[in-house]
Amino acid sequence: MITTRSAPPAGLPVPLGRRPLLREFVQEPLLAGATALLWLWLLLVVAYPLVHVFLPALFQDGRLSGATFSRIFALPYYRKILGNTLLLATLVASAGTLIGFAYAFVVVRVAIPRPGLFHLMALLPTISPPFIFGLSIIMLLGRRGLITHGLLGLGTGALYGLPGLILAQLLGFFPFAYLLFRNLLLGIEPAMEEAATTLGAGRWQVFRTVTLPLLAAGVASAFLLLFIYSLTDLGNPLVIGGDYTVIASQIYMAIIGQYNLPLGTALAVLLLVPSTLLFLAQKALERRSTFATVTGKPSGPPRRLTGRALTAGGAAFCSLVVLAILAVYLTMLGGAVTRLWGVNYQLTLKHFESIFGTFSLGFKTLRDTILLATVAALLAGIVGVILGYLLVRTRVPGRAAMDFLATLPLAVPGVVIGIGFAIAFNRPPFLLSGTAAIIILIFAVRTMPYGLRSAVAAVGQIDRAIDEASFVAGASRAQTFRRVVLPLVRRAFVAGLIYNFTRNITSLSAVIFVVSPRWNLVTAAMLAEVDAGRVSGAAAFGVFLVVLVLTLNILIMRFVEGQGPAGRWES
Amino acid sequence: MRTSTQLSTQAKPIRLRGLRKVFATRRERVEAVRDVSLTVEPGELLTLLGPSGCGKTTVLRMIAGLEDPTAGEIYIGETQVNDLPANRRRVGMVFQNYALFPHLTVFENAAYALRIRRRPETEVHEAVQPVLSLLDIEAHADRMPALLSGGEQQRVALARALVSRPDVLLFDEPLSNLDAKLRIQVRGEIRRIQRTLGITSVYVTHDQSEAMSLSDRIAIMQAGRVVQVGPPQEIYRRPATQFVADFVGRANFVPARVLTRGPAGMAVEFLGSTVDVATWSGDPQPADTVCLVIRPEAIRLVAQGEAAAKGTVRRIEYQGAAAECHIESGGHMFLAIFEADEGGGLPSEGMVMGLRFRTSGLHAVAGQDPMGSRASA
Repeated sequence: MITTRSAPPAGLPVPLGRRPLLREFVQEPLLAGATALLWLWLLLVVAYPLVHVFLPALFQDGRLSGATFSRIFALPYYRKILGNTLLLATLVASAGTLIGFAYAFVVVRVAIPRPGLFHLMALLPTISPPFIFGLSIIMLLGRRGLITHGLLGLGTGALYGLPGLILAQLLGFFPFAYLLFRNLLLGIEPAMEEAATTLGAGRWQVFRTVTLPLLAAGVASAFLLLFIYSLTDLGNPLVIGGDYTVIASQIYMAIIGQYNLPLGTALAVLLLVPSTLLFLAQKALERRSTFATVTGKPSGPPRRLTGRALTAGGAAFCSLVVLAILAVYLTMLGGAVTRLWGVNYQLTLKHFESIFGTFSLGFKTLRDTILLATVAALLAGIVGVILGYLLVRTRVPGRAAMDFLATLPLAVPGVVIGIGFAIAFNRPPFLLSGTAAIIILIFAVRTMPYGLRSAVAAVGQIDRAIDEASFVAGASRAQTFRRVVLPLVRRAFVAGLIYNFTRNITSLSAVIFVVSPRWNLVTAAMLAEVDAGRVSGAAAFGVFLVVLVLTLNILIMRFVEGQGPAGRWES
Repeated sequence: MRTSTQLSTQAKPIRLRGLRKVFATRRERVEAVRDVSLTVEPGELLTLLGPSGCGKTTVLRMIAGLEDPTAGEIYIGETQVNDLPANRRRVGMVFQNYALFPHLTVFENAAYALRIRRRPETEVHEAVQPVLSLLDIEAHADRMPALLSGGEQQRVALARALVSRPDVLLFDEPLSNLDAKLRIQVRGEIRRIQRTLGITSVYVTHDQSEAMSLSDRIAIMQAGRVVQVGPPQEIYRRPATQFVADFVGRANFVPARVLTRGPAGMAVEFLGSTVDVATWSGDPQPADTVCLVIRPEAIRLVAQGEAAAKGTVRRIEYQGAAAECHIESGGHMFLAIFEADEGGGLPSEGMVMGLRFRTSGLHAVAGQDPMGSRASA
C-alpha cells in the first residue's frame, strides 16, 4: 500500500496524530460509518462472488474434492483446451510485444511524419470492444470474406481457429503493449543516451547497451500483460475461434450451454490462478521497469532519430499497422450498410432498421446499456474516490485488506467474475438474477480498481498540509473532503467516469453471464447476432458502440486538456 | 603522481568561430546562440556563465556534438569537428543529472567507453582502477548507482567521463543537484582533478560563486552572445557592462557625469561630490554620463563631517561576519557591506552618516542605469 503504518513503541506516549483508532471513530462517526459501508460493499461484490466460484469447484456433495480437476486433467479433450489456451496466449503475447515495441519506438523516437496521428490511431482499439476485431476479420477473410471470397474466390474456412484468433487478438491487444513501451521510452532520460554517445557509442550500440537494457523489464511486463489479455479474452474465441476452444470459451459453454457448475467453476479456477499470479508478476515488473532514471526529471525531450532507411522503414511499418486497424473499422461500417455481406454489397440501411425498428429490442438495448453503464460508472467512481481518500489520508483499520479486495477485480478474469456473480446472486439472500442491479454491480466491481488507483494518485498529490490547513481552520473531515479534496480531484474524477463508462459498454466477458431478456446489453446482443449468422446486424450495433465511445473520449480529451492552469493542481 | 601521468593527454585547445544555433519549430524560431567566438586554451578551465536561457548549455552541447550548429566552426586541437558525430569527438561530458546507467554497476559505468571500443578486459581494469581511486570511489565499484549518494554519483559520472581519456571535458551544471555544502566540496574536487590532469575543460553554470572559484577564465553570456571573457578577478573588478556587473557579485549602480579623463584615472561627479575612478569600460568622454558600478564593500561609513557625501541609514542587517547597510543618499538607495566587528559598533537606523568610496571598488560602464538607480540584490 501507499502508506505504511508503524505502531508507536510500547511504553512511549502516543505521538500526536496517532490517536488510538477507536477514539478516532468515536470522534468521527461519519468516518466509522463510511468504513463499515465500504467493508460491506467489498465483501458483497468481491469476496462473496469469488467464494461462489471456488465452492462448486472444490466441493462435491458437501465434501472437499478434487474430482473435477482430476477429470479435466485426465481427459485429452480438456488437456487439448489447456494447450490451445497457452499456445494462443504465448503467440499473441510474443508477437504483440514485438509489434508494440516497434510501433512505440518508431512513434516516440524516429523522425516520422505526424507521430501524433499514429499515436491516436493505436488508441482506437483500446476503447473498442475487443471482439469487433474477430467480427471484422471474419468479414474480410472468412468463408464469405471480402478478400478471401470476393477478391480471391476462395471459400476457405482456414481462418477460423488459431490464425484468426491470433490476428484478432493482436490487433485488439498490441496497443496496450504500445502504450506501456511508449511511457517507458518517454521516461528514459535523454541525457543517458547522450552520455553513451559522448563515450563513443554509435547509434546501434546506444540502443543495444542502454535503451534495450532499460526496457528489459518492460518487455517482460508487456509480454505478461498481453498473455493475460489473451488468456482472459472471451469474445474473440466465441466469434472466430471455430473448433479451436480455449478455457474462456469452454467455461462459457459449460455454464451457458450445459449448466455444468462444477466443470465451469473448476475451469474458472484454472483460469483464475495463473492469471492472478501473472498479474502480480506483471505489476512487480512494471514497478521495476520504471527505474529508467536514477535521479530527477528528464532533462528534455529526446531527439528523434533520422536517417532515410530508419524513417522510411518505420513509417511503412506503422502505416501497415494503422491500415490493418482502419480496415477493421471500415469493414464493420461496410458490413452495417450493405445488404448481405459476402453476397450482395448493395448499400442499405435495413440492418439498422431491423435492430432499431419498431418490433425489435435494439433501441431498448442501446438505451439500457447507456443507462446501466452510466449508473455503474458513477457508482464505481464515487466508491473509488471515497475509498482512495480513506486509504491515503486516514488511519482506519484494515486499509491494506480493503486495498487488496478493491484491487483484486483487476487481476480476476471477467469470465470468472461473471460466473461468480451468476451463481452468487442467483440464490437468496441476494436474488438479483435478471435485474438491472446485477449488471450495474458487475460493471462497478470491474471498474472500481481503476477509479481507486486514480483517486489514490490524485489525493496523494495533494499536499497533506492543505488538509491540515482546512482542519485548523475549523472544518470537519467531511467538510474538508467535500470542500477541499473533491474540488482538487475533480478532473481525475470526471476523466475516470468516462473511462469507466467506456469500459462498461465495451465489455463482454463478465456481463455475458448476467444479461437477461429484460436487461440486455449491446455487446451481448452483438454476440447473439453473430451466433444467429447475422453478421451485419452485429456490425450495425458495433458502429453505434464505436461512434459513441469515440465521441465521448474525444470530448473528454478536450475537457482534460482544455482545463488550463487549474488542471495543474493535480499534476 | 603515477595516475596523473597515466591519465593526462596532450592538452588541446577548443576554438569556436562564429557559432550560431537556431531552434526552429513550426510555430517559432529561437535564436539560442548568436555568433559566439571563443578560444579555450590548452589545459584551461573556462566557465560559461549566464542566466538560464542565455545559450550556454547549447554552446556546450554543440562542442560535444549533441547539437548541430546552424553556422560556425568548432575546432578541438587542430581538427574541425563540425561533421564528427558525438561518439567520435573524444569529449568527456558530465551531465546535470549525472545520467548514470542505472542497469550498470559503478565499475561498469566507468568502463563503458572502453567496452564500447572492445578493449581487452585487462586494459579496461588497468584504465578504470586508477580513475576510481583518483576519485575515491573504489569501494563502491560493484554497487549500483541508485544506491549512491548524490555526491558519489557525481564522482562516478566524472570517473566515467575521464576513463575514455577525452581531449576535452565538458561540465553541464554538474553541481546543481547537490546541496550547498556538498557543492562546495565537490567543486573543489573537480578543480583539483582538472588541474592534476590538465584537461582542457568547459564548465557551464549559472552560479557566479561556482564560476568565480573554479575558473581560469569566465565567459559571461547574455542572450546568445558572449559579452565578456576574462579571469574571475577581472570580470568582478572591471565588468564590461552593467549586465555583467549585476550578474557577477552585488553592486550599486549610479549615474555619474565624467568631468575629466586622464591616462591614470577619471574624475566623475555624482551626488554632488567628485570621486576618482581608476577603471572603466568603453570610451567615456568628458561630459558623458556613465553608470558607476560601486561594489558594496567599497563604501565606508564614517562620521558625518568626514566625507563630502552623506546619507541616512534606512535598514541594517546583521549577518554575523558582515553587516549589510542600506543607506539613502540623494534619492538613491545604496547597499554597503562591511565587517560587523570593525569596532565602534553598528550604526542604527535613522542615523546620518558620511559616505566614502574606495577607488579600487569603483568602475564605470557605459550608459545610464535604465531601471533607475538601485542596489542589485
